[in-house]
Amino acid sequence: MGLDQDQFLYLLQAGRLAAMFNYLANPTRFLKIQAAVQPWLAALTVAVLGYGLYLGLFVAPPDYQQGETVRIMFIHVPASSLALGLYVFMAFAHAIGFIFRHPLAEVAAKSAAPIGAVLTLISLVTGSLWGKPMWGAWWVWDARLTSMFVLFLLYLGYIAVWQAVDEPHRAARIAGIVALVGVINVPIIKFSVEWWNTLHQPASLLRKGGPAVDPAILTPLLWNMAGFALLAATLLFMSMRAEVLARRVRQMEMAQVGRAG
Amino acid sequence: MSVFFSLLWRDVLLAFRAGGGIGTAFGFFLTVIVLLPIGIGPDQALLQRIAPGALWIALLMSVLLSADRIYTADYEDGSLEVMALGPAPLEVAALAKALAHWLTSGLPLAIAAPLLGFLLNLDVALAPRLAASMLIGSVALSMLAALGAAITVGLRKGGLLISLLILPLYIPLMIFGVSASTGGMSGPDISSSSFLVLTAIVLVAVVTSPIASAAALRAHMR
Amino acid sequence: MDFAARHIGFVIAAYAAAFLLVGGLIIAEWLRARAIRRRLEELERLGAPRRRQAANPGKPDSKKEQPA
Repeated sequence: MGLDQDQFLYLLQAGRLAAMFNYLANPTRFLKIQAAVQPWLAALTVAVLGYGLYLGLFVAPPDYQQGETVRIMFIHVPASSLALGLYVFMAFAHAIGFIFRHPLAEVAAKSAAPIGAVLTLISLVTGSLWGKPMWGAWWVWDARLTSMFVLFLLYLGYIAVWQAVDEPHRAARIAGIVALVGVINVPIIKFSVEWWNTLHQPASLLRKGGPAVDPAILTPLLWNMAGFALLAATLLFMSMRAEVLARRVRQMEMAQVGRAG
Repeated sequence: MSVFFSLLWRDVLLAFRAGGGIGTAFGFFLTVIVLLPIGIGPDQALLQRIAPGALWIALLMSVLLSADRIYTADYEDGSLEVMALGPAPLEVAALAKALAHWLTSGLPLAIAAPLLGFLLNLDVALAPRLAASMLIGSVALSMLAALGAAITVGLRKGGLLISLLILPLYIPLMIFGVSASTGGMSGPDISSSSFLVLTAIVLVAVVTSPIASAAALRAHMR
Repeated sequence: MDFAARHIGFVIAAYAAAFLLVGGLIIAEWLRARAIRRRLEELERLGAPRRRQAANPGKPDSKKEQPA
């Protein structure tokens, strides 16, 4: 099974970010750049996401079948694809951490996990709220909802590993193994769940023959996707800053203990 | 190679002599199979419909039950460090440990499951397919259980963590295992293609699990 | 947006849930960052030495002891 085009775009994005980390590998340099970039990134996020939500809520026409519920899609679809993209990004960052030993790559992976988990949860909640009027039930074992649920479990397992191991270097290696094994499984899970439940809707967002979705819907959707991606990047940078400082605190505490004892 | 076989033999012997392992798995398996009809009612047609899935669930949970013990004893008494320093790579040791777990939990249960299936009114025509898919599938169940055990060895809350980590990995096995054993019971018969996909997943697990387990064990022993 | 449409409650609930979840994440991150920043300031006031290890990532951390 090939990658959807949107999945491919996320992979590409992950690759670019990884190349950036190569340059930013020095945590002190990262902190400096982060402090300079953060306000602009946050402002851009508010602008793009705000415009996307405005388009989605007030400009896009209601669907002739789904009515107003189609507006849920403007959150559901970006959250789902970004959640998947962040997991791939996490595994990618860990691969870089394993190969080049950049501690910042591990910091990035660790910081991405809660963001991805929350986006997965948003995808599940909005999917369920979309499903209730459409299917008549809060939860349906639909192929996509099931895949997202499994992705949520993968995120929880990954976060739990970081919680369970005290020493950061060891935690990073073990979490990296979990992330890499998980990312091997993501396509297998997706494939198997679709096999199991062949009643899913075919992917219709971006296809070779051009978008099957009407531009009136697609334009706000793309704005929202960009907005969500920017939001994730802003949160990731914020969280990475905290994590870098947390490691510094840990080192200082260790040094303090060493000096006292 | 001799390291591999001596380790395998040691673990199988330990499982038999130290007791616990096989008996616990069997007891758990039997408990699920007996409690299921009592819980959902003795409707023969319903039982026949859910029998393959129920047997797979029982197999999966019985394998998971003994998972967190695969490395615990070796980690605590230092045998694991001997294996890490020994002549064979740690990957070989990890493969031997996982295979030993399969020989002492997955394999006996996969043989027993079609026989115990009569308690659930399993369609006799499905029994050979069920046995074949369980024999193959349980290899991957043990491989992934060993991987989970290697990741969580020596951690607080290891037992909870191992289920959370393994559950997503078991879902594809469950899906293809059940669809390989049900045949054309509901819809077109896709059991042979499911069986092939199941085998492919098992092969991936056999390759991935020892490498990842060894990496995790090294990280724990640093 | 038509507020009288059918199922409008689901749309509002979906947006509200997304806002709450993202907001919760931002607040949690902010609290965590604040706690870390305070701790760092406290340590610096105490005059704890800042080792340069954090700024030297290229070197793999050396194994202190082999497992026996």
